[in-house]
Amino acid sequence: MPAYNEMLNNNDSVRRPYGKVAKWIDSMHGNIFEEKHNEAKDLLKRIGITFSIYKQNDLNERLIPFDMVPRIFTSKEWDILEKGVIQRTKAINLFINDIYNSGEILKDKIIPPELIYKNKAYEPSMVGFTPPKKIFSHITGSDIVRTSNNSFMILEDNCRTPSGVSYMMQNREIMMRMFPSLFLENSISPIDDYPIFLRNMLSSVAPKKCNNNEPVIVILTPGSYNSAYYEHSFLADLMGIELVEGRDLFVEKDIVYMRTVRGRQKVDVLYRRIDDQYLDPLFFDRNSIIGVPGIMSAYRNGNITICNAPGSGIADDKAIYTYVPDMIKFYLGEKPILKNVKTWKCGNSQDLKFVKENIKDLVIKEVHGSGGYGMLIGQYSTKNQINLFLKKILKNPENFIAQPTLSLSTCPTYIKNSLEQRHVDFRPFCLQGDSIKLCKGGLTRVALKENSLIVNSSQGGGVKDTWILQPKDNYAK
Amino acid sequence: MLSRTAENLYWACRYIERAEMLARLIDVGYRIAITKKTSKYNNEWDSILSSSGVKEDFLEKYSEINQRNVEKYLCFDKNNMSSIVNCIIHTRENLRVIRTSITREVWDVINSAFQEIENFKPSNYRSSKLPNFLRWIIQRTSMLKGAIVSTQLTDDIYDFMNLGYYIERADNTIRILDVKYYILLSKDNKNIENNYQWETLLRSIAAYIQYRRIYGVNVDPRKICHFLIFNKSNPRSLLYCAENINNHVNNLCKYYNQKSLAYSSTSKLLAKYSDVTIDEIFKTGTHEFLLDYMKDIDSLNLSISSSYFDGGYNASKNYT
Repeated sequence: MPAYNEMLNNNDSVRRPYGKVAKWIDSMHGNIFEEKHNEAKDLLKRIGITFSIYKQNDLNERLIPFDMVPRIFTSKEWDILEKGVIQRTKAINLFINDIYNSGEILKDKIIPPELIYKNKAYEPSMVGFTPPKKIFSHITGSDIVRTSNNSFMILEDNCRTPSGVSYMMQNREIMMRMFPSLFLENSISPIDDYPIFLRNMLSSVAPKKCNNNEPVIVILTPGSYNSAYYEHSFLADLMGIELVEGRDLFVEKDIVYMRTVRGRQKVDVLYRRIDDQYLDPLFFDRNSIIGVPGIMSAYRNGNITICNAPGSGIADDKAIYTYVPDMIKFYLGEKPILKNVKTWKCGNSQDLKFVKENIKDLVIKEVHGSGGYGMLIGQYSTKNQINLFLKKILKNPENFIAQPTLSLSTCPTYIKNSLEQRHVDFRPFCLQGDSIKLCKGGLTRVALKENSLIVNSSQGGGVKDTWILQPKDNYAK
Repeated sequence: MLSRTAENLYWACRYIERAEMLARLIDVGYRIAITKKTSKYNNEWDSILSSSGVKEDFLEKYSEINQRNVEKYLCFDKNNMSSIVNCIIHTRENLRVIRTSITREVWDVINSAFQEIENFKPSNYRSSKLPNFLRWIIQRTSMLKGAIVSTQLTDDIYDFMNLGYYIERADNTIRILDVKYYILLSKDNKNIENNYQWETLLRSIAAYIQYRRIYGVNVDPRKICHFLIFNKSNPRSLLYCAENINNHVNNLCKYYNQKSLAYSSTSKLLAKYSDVTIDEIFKTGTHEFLLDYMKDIDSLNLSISSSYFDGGYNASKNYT
């Protein structure tokens, strides 16, 4: 079955939401497209949107390839996505709070306890702890794929420190600067209020003990050599808060302070962009020099809120993923709006048998892997590669899951002087504090290699601006 | 503002000022080398190494003090923490991590300088290219200063940048004066060479013409010391630096509405040197005077650091 084409119907006519974009594409004759493509590149370079790769003492700053052709959702489509993601995020937060507290979902035998307690992502130090507003995963980025006109599926939930929101905003910025007329012709939902939502959400989860009139919020970055440093400084800037490294903070008597030119200043909310294991050398990895010694104790004493909460990763584990629809039924009593991708657990002997027999048609992933590493796409692998991977699976079957090779939808993408169809996925960003909100936009990632299904930027993927059309404009002529 | 941010701003400007001073010093060495005017005292490179404070480290790597070795070491050696190339890299790195505190114009200048110097291949380098290289460095450092003055807000960011500039400059002026003075007092030097040495000193601080305008064409140790220590209109004199340091520390105190250790140190420094005269300096010995001044600058550096870069980590030094 051919992949769903976001822009064209089967008879090659243009789908209605793309009508004006198609005209805009047609209007760019000759070399104009190439010129504009290069102009966008220059603009990105000038603004400094890079991700850093640091090796052998040399800092490489690379650009993420930006594609000018936007990806469009109608307001009807968005309605489904929005409701679905919000429903899912609510359930996930209820789930995390539950398993670190009374564990109702385990008592009701909906999820086998060993899957939780033996899981590397389960954080024993969080047991019995309830963060403000009972929220663990404040910022969630779910990866969504589209396989047909009305089928959206959740590929993965990211509950730790999902990144990419700065690209969402900069893609829009570039499109608005380069093609202002597109924004006059189409009613596109704005996304520039994301930093305001983010700041308000972070304020709303300040500890009860917070005495500061306006909670002091900071972003914790591993430092300027981190690949997402640009995003960290971008967000700090737009929220008007400080971007700190571990060495800028210290803990005294369970209070976290920031070192400023006026002296110490108490910090109430920490939006951390470093992994759990590096957060506190007294608690986790003793060798971490990017963390803040004593911060976990301050956290557990209710003197600071850490976003996302340590231990949130239990919810985006690929083995737990299969149970999210059950969580939605269990905690919310609702029917899941967005489907999961069918998943076989290699740890289950029946599933493993199926995987061995059908490996050609499956995608195999490591349970704890991310970034497109450690996976096998049966369809595009040689016999040799498959046999090698099978050996790895059989050594430690629990470590792998399998999913059907999805036919991700495609979007026209500028490749060497022409527009070609390339596979895309979508990551919207959901914020949950005292209320829950999905930003009306997101990051569309595109696999630039022909037929490739891997959209990760670390594997050469690019990005597109993503438009959510406002209701009146859905079927504009 | 984060303490680290203030520290980055401060060091960025110390390094860029250092790069400029080095470029000027090396330019003087080059000028002497091509004119070969000084026959007896011909190792200007020795005094340049002493002035820049890296002679010991240099001698660990090279046995001979000659133009090629000194050039390589002071301009391009990445193992020399204070080489010109490293100064540019350090400046850019200090500003890169706090990019949102500086204007795009400031970033553009330092970032382009960095890109160009990274593309510069020391292997293709020939000594004949030295003047161009030095001119290029002095241009970039001037452009950076210009961008700061014309685009940055005059807030605490600006104050920390200027503190870096003036502390480093005071430090450099002392070094240059001290080393030259030491050479000039040695017995081997004849008068005519002395004069030439003084001229090179003025060149190295970019004040050759300015000096003549104020003091006439005759160079005289007393006048030169006055020019470099007390002349309030000379942007490289110690008094000028001290007054500016004092102003910027005062600004910070007003801005933060709190006094600091740096405040009392800089007030003391100004008071201490405002009553001194050239005669007194010559009586006690210029070298001793300069050493004393250097110590005061060092301790001022430390008090700036504990007032603003510590961030209340050591509660005893917290002035809130």
